[in-house]
Amino acid sequence: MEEKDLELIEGHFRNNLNGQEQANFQRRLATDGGFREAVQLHSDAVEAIRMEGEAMLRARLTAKGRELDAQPNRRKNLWWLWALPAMLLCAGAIWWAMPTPTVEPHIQQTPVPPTSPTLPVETTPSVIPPVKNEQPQAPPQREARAAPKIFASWFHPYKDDTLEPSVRGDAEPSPSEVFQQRYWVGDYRAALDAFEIMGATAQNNDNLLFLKANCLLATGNAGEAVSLLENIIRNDRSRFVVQAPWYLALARLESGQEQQSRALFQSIAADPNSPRQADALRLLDSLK
Amino acid sequence: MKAEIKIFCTLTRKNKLKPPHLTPKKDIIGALHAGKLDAVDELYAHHREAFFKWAGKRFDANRQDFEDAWQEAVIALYTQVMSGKITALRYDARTWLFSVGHKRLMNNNRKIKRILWKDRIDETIQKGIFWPEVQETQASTEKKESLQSAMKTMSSQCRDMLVQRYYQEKSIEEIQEDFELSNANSTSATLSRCLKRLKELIKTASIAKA
Repeated sequence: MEEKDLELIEGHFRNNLNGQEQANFQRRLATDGGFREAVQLHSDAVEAIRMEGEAMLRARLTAKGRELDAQPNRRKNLWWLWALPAMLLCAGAIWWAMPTPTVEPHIQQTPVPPTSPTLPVETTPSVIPPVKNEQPQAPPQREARAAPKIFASWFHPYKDDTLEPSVRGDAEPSPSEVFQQRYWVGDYRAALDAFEIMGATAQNNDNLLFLKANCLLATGNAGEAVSLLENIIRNDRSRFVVQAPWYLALARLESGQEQQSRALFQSIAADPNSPRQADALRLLDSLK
Repeated sequence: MKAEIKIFCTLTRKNKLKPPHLTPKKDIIGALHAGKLDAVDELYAHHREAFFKWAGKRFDANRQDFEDAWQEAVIALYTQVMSGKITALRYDARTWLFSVGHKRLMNNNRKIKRILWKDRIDETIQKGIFWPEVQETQASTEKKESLQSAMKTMSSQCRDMLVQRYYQEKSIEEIQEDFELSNANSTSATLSRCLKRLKELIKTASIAKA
């Protein structure tokens, strides 16, 4: 098929043909079997692209939906933040208004001599000893304290040889190259700044988003990293997808989702194909 | 009492006489046609909760069903606009989207449909004057799978470029900028190469099947 035929077909699908071209298209379609086949092939290709485009859009809307669903919870949490001081104030006011019993500690501390030796004296302890908290909610508190330490000792931003930026003469590096260079040298804040000025396609590239998630983890924004990594795993389009669960588990740990984090570490530890299986096993030991 | 009835009748008559939203929403169509995905996001987010509430009164389905239907409706509008099948809306975007979402739910939940509530959108749906606007593709499941499989075999860059060019209808210059390519000629050549490769894959798959 010649180039001009392909242009004619594409023009037809884009509704760009004038009257004469359209007539030519119809004549070829009616008389030329090869042309008809090329038109069908082009139609199939456009249909395949449309389905892919819709799948991409659906993934984008799903992410947006999750973001929207997360918003009311945040508002509810904020409501509790306001309610807590109000409740404390009310409790304080009630306590202030209540008549306080007069306590004379020195009288209580002094044992009353028995008036009669025959009567047994009921000895009450002078000061009620503070109740010792024998079980200071050990597991959750220890875990909560341990999580940041575990995260700090296990999180290292992902690097492999393929990420090392290549040097290209005097040409001005593109924004995505600047992002990768800054990532490679470990300047994660600057890398995040560079990410913001990249093109829209680069910003939606799951490989670069995986690196962005690492930057977010390195700069203390684990919550945002969680949602990025969840999307990367769901899309299954990144070459880092096998590494992503490990970083997602770490991100969840750091953002306080200990149970989900532990469950994910357990599934990594049980997966013989995961490159992080051994790490997950050791980390789970340290979580115990 | 009579006065109250009179006021009620007047109000009802006023409501009946009130014209439906027939103004074409060119701003929405224009924004979608300009390939602004932010406009899609906004459209999706703006009426989402209202649709869930509206659909919840008509279907005994869970939130995920409503979410799927809503996504399908937004995607359908975007696809129809981008392919030039819709250039103006007879009703407002909300009515269009709710009607498409309703149809999706009807298809999925024929047996559990409940009509407890009725409003202007239900009337629009029942008039049946709406559906010619939506033209759905009729490719068989087998063919769909074959096309999807061919697309998955492509490199991610080719896939993204083809989607931008043929689905999002972006210009060569916009694609060049997005992919940080050196010039329009190389962008055009890369696109041609990708399309040719896709066609080869589809052809190979169809020959293998035959």
